[in-house]
Amino acid sequence: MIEVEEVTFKYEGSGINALRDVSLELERGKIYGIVGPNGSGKSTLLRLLNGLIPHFYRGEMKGRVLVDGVDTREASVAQLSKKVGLVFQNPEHMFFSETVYEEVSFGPKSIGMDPEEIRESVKWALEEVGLWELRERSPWSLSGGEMKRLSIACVLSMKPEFLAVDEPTIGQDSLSKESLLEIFKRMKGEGKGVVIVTHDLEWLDDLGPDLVFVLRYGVVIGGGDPRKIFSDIRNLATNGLIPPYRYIVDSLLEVG
Amino acid sequence: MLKIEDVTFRYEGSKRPALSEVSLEIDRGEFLLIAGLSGSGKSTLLRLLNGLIPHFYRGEMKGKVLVDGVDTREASVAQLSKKVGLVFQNPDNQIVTLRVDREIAFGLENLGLPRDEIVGRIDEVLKKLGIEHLRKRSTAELSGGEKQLVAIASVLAMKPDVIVLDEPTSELDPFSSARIAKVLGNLNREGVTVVVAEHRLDLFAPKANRMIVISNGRIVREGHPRELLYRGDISLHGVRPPSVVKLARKYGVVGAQPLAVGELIVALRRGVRIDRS
Ligand SMILES: Nc1ncnc2c1ncn2[C@@H]1O[C@H](COP(=O)(O)OP(=O)(O)OP(=O)(O)O)[C@@H](O)[C@H]1O
Ligand SMILES: Nc1ncnc2c1ncn2[C@@H]1O[C@H](COP(=O)(O)OP(=O)(O)O)[C@@H](O)[C@H]1O
Ligand SMILES: [Mg+2]
Ligand SMILES: [Mg+2]
Repeated sequence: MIEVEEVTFKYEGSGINALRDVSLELERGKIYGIVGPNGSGKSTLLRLLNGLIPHFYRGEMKGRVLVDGVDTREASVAQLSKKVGLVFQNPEHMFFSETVYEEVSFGPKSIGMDPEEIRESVKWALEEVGLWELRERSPWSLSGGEMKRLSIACVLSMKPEFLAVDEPTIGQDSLSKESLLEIFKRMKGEGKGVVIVTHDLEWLDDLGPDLVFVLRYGVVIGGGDPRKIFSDIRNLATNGLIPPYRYIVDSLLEVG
Repeated sequence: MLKIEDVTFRYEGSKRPALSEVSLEIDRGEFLLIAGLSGSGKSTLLRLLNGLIPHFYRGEMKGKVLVDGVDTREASVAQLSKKVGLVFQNPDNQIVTLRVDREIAFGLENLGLPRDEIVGRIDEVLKKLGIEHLRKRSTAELSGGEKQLVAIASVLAMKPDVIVLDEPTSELDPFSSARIAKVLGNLNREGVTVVVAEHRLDLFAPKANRMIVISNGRIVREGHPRELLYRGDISLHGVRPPSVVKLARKYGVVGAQPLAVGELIVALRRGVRIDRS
């Protein structure tokens, strides 16, 4: 379980808190959706889950984050990354290998998986995201959507118990969006915890998260069953969001 | 004004061409929407339009691209960018300066505009995109969506004749996405030519006068968005109709061919009234 306890975080040099008094619990075997307008703190929240904050981002942090009872301040990012895999919003500047295959092998190697397992895991991960055919290509030569899927494979191959993905649908067409749905649902079925940040509420609705949190100005202003969250159209709209269209249509038809 | 003549392009080091025998003419004042699977060649096509291909991307190019009659091989990217402004798919690759206002000023200085004109344009574009609060922020410390808005702003501020955008709303929240679609629609009405590659068909199909579908580096469909999205066979090429079209089918208001949510709602209201009378 990941417990975020009353966390407030301010990036160094910034005048405002990117997160304010945020508390939530994330369990295995569930899918969580995190939504909110641009700049509301979604990516910042994800950076807390695997210790990037406070280990790599400078700033002022209050409260704490516990991953299976361990305070992220007391664990290294390397240790945490075995439990919590994070896919960045814009990963392409993080690639450094010559080929797609090597890029995906790096993570499993660095956490000390044995060679046989690495080979299986890399192949599986690349097949999951539909990039096995492109394994000899340079990561830099991929299209934007392919790069995003590569970064997802990089994390999948490490077999983390929690998967946190920042904007998985960036650059994805309708087919790859569908295959991402399958991947995340399967992970949930295998008992992993899946945390998704997205602006694509239509897609999130298809994913069927167990719980949705709404962020605004760094504050969690709502959390609960997606049906409850999405059908409160007025509340969403005043907080800069538009629910999946079917909720809008349903509400219109109800009113008549 | 933009003419792609039988272009085949293969990136250096890759075996297959990213574009094959593509011909396309874009007239002044058009709003062209480009759809297609990831990896189908959308970005490659856009890179042709402002000369990034062949000037910056190595590879083998056949055929030619004309911008107002000038072969892009014979013009520099700097010259071309005065006419054709391209918003990159990944804003990280576009942003070059350290502060938001400087980023927007950067392109304007290259145009040789006077100081007060530059300041005026910065004010105007920040306001238009609703990001005045980002003016003095460090570009390295923006959220993904904020960066994308700044990248769009810096191209809009240059007021090119043709604005080309590569998946401009991929990181934007629903309100900002809608705002971008609206701003582009307005510019187009003022005569600016707009070319957008997007997966978010729900936002841009209602604005576009023409849509093309790319598959495996070829243009496989071309027509009015209503025609393409309601005829249905574009799903063969991996392009799914947006939710509005799906809902129109579900509620039997396909005849009205709504593309925008507003149109769908109008069609439904009519439908509902008829049912009850
Ligand atoms: N490295 C950083 N240094 C300083 N401020 C930052 C940094 N990263 C983000 N911020 C600021 O913190 C706030 C929250 O940013 P965050 O990236 O978490 O937003 P987000 O909800 O993920 O937005 P988006 O939907 O645009 O990705 C914003 O005001 C942003 O500008
Ligand atoms: N810089 C590059 N070098 C080599 N190959 C590339 C490069 N950019 C894209 N490609 C390849 O060209 C094809 C078309 O890519 P792209 O135009 O980016 O597609 P889209 O924008 O439709 O997702 C893909 O196979 C992609 O991997
Ligand atoms: Mg973000
Ligand atoms: Mg692209």
